[in-house]
Amino acid sequence: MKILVCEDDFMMIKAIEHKLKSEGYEVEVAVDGNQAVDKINQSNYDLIMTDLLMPFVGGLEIINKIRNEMHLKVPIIVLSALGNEDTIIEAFKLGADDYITKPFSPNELSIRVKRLLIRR
Amino acid sequence: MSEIFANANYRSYIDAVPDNLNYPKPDMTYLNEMAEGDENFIKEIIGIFLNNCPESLILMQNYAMLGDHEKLKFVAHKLLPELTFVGILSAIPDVEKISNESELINDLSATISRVILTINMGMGELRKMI
Repeated sequence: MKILVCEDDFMMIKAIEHKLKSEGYEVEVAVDGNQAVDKINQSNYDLIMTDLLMPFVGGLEIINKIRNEMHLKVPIIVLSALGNEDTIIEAFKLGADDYITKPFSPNELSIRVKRLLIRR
Repeated sequence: MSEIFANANYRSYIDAVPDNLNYPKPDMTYLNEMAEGDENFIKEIIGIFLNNCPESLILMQNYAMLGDHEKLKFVAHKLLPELTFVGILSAIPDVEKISNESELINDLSATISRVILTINMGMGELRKMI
């Protein structure tokens, strides 16, 4: 299973990679929105995890591109420190499948990833 | 910003911390849970924090002086989860306040000074762990 992590914070990248790789997933990283869009265009992922506040292209725009321009059904998890209701609703309206607030519980992250991958 | 510049500022901040202040040691509960016994992972995360955090503190101070609340809030927002990771929990209420409503804080300069002091003391403890 291949997961794309779109995140610009190196500490967060290390933490997510550590957890997901320990569970046997293949992990690729995009450190800004442009890189994320390029990678999604060039490769197939089983799941995409994205931060919202990123350079060049934000997470909400990435979700919008995935759903409304690329028409992909890949599961999307938003992983953000933004926990306000408006942002969460906007992410779900655009097509996110789940929303996790930072700092995340590693076990919660794991179970949410598994849940979405099983549904595929 | 270069690593050398960040480290230079980091040193000057650390040197400014008084010896007699009582400060809670970083709470490693979260990082230990995340690491699942991997000591190298813990060291790596602490190393990233020690390398990157000084730049964030300088940026916060500069954006506050310039009155650029949008950028100030962005930097504080990015710093918040990192503080949880490395267990500098006592700085979180102030950083959260800055992240949410910096423009409404009357004593912003004092708040940022307090954040810098608290985080620097935490970084001093973290340096001993790696």
